[in-house]
This record gives sequence, C-alpha cells and structure tokens, in this order.
Amino acid sequence: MHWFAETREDYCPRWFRAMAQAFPERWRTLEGQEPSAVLMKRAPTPGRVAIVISGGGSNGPFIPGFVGEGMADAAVVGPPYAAPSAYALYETGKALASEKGILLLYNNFMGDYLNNDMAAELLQLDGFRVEQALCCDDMGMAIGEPRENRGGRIGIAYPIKICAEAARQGASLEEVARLARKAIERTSTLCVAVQPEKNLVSYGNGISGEPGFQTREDANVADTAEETIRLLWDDVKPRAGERVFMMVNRMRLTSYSDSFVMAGCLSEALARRTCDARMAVGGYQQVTDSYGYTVTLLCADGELQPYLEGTLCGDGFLL
Amino acid sequence: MNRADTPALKKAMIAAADAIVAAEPELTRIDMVIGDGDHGIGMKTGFTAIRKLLAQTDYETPYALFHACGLCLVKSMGGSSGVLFGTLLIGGLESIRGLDSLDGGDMCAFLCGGIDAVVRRGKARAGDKTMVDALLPAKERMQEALLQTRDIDRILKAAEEGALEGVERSKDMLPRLGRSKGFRESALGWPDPGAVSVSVLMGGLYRGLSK
Repeated sequence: MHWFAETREDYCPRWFRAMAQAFPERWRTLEGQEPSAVLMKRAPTPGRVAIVISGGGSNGPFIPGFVGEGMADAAVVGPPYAAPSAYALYETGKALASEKGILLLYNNFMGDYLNNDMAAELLQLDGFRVEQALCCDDMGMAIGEPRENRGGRIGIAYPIKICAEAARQGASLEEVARLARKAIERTSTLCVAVQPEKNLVSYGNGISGEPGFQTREDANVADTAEETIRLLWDDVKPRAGERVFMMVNRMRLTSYSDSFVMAGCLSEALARRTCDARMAVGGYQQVTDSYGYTVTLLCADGELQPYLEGTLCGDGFLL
Repeated sequence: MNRADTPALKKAMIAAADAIVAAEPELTRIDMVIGDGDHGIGMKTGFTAIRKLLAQTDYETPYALFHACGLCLVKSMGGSSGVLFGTLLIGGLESIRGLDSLDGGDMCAFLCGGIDAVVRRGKARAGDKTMVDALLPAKERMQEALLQTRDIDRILKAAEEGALEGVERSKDMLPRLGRSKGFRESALGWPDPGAVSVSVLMGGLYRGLSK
C-alpha cells in the first residue's frame, strides 16, 4: 500500500504480472496498458458471453481475484483508486473477441462510467456486441436520492456470480445484462465501521472515507448486528417469493475469527425476519483501512435463485 | 470550398492540433485559477500525440482519419478530458462511414453526432461551465449555417463562431459540480478551459481547411 506513492504508474501492472506468474494455469495478463492493468482468465471459454469487470486499483481480492471459472473473464483496473482507461478496456474487449458479446460490469462511479461507456462505443464501432451494467449498492451514499445515484461496493460480487453462471449456461448477452441489472436493483450494502475502544459504531461510511450517516454507542455485537440488519432490511424491503442472500465482508483490520462471530450475530438478526436466508463470510474487498464490515443483502426472486446455487471458490474467498 | 477529401481533412486536423498545442499556456493559466491546472497539459499531450501520428500515417477515408485521432486522444490523455475530446471525434463517426469526402452537411452531421455524444456521456447541462457550453452554440450555429450553404469551410467557420460565443458566455457561469462556494465564485469572469479548447479546435479545423 505504502509503495503507491513511489510506483503509482506501474503498481497494478506489477501486481497482476505476479498473480499470473504465481498461478499461470489460472491467469494471464494483457501487457502494454500502463498505467492501467489487465488480468485475464488463462483460457476463456469460446461461445460464451464474456464478462469484464473494472474499477480503481485497490487492495483486493476484488477486483482481480474475481477473475476465474464461475466469475469474470477479465479484470481491468486503473492506477490505485483511479478508473481504468477506456483504451485498456477496449483492448481487453478486442482480446476476448467474444462472438456472443461482452458485458462491461462495474461499480457506479463517474470515472468508471466515462471510460467503460467510451470503450463500449469503440467496441461497437468495431462490430462487437456490448452491454453495460452498473452496480449501485452502497446505501450510505446518495441517501434520499434514486438508487442509480449510489456508488458501488462489494455487492457487485453477486451479479458477477449470476452473470458467469448464466453465460456458462449459454444465455444471450441481453439476457445476461438483464439478470445483472435485476440483481443490482435488489442489492444493498451497508458499511459498519467500529471503534472498539470507544464502543462507537458508524453506519454508512463511504468507500473514500466519507463519514457515516449515523454513529451510535452500541452495547454489544448483537446490538450492532440488529441495527445493521434493520437498516438494510428497510432499504431493500424483501418481497414475497424472494430469498435473502447475505454477504459479510471484513475490512482490513478485522480478524478472521471476529468476522465469523459478527456474521453469526447478523445471521440471528436476519433469522428474526426470514427463515431461509443464505450467508457468505469472507474478505472480498479490503479497501477500507479500518475495523468493521460491509454487509450486503441481495433479494433474489425465483429467476435469480438458481444462478446462486453452489459455492464458488475465488482467490481467497468463498461465495 | 464545398467538399474536403481525406488529405484536406488531415491537413485541417494537423492545424487544429498545432493550435491546441500553441494554446497550452493560455489553457493552463485559466485552469490554474478555476480548475486543477492540468487541462492545458492534458490537451497538449493528446494533440502532440495526434501530430506525431499524422506525421507518420495516411488514411483512406475521413472515418479512418477521425477514428484514429479520437483513439489517439483516449489512449494518450487518460482522465475525463481524454474520453470527452475523444468522444467528440468518435461519437459522430457512423454518419460518415463509407464517405470519401465530406461536404458541409456531412461535417455538420459528424460534429453534431460527436457533440450529442459528449452531452450524453458527460452528463453536464448547458450553463454548468463546461465544454458543453461551447459545443451547444457551435451546433446551433452550424445548423443555422446549413440552411444557407453546404460549403464545408463555412460550416466550420460557423462552428468556431458559435464556440467563441459560448466561451464568452461561460465567463458569467458558476461551475456546478464538486466545488466549494468560494472556489465557485472566484471562477466568475473566467471562461471554462474546456470551452476554450473547443473553440481553439474548431478554429484550427477551419483555418487548416481554408489555408
């Protein structure tokens, strides 16, 4: 992390190159995209819709750890915390050369939108079929505004899983994009930042250090879990026939064991509202240098549920 | 001049690139006051790359010429300016696909397609003190001129005049997005550097073609 200042231009290319060196059977890089970097599946399967995820370079495992079987075909990142270039996205799309089309799936931030939208146009001019889906799950951002004004967090992991499974089953580009948008519409993520020494808990902190929308003194973990689920439940408002999927993502200073204890409490709070929720726990996106969690709820209807069966093994996480 | 073929348009693009590079100190001076101070350098980087590309390469069609120039900006500049000025050259390409030369009507359709794409992609509205405030009057003036003539040089002249009007009007505008109030008010009296770049680009194309 602290090397960023010295090696900002080639930090991400070096990072991805080493990933491909370590596990060449899984990954390869697309070179020459500095200061952006591209990690691709070693062997993309022909005849499927290709899924490209992108965003600012950060700690991981999201974004590159989500490249692999059952996940995305390629990840494109800019320099640390900056959007990837439209040119790198365009070159990635050309390299994937999917006849069934390319889905650009990314979190809703201005720089990411500008560059993906530009890349989509360039690819379309070259005759490729392209769709875009923007994830806007961060309920701490743009409060009181329409969902499409929100930024994206790690809720995007669910549409990645859904789209990869749909693509594997041979779904068309339009179909894969529709499923992505449907899942995004029903996904909310809440950041819960804890200052353990003060018993202070902030809810809704932003990904770039924006303060939360409420801070409370919580008596214990169960108290925090109940409040977290209450806020998320009010935001997504699960409907009849939907199954709730919960993803508990630990932030960087949170221990492995703490995250499971917290997840257990969250699961109890969820069980007071629904009886068949499914839970995933891990370190999916360790951006924020603090103690706490992001908690994501996805409400999946009967159409989305089958795509979420099974557990996928990412790089250092299960989902 | 009624029509321009690919070599003539290439000459116009070279003149436009030279004009942007020459305007860098002025763009930087304005952006130091009202922006991040990097607009001029970004534009100079992008159009120096175009200059280099055009010194080495000839193109078969206007489509291939503008496609290559737009891509060159996207690749060399990075950031939102690279995307948006690239969009200006790429967004209207479909309207000139297959043409060997452009008359004023073709040029108007090409530039208006690019302008519409910038407006759609950049999500800025008229009056937000952005490049859009030069692009929209340029579009208006071109469409008015097209009622009188299909000469390509007169269409480009109209584009420059419209852009310059927009630059003047942008001096009275407050920037909308992501800026503090004190900062926003200190921008009064200064034109938007993106709008200035648009006028320099249009003027360069016009003079490069009529030379």
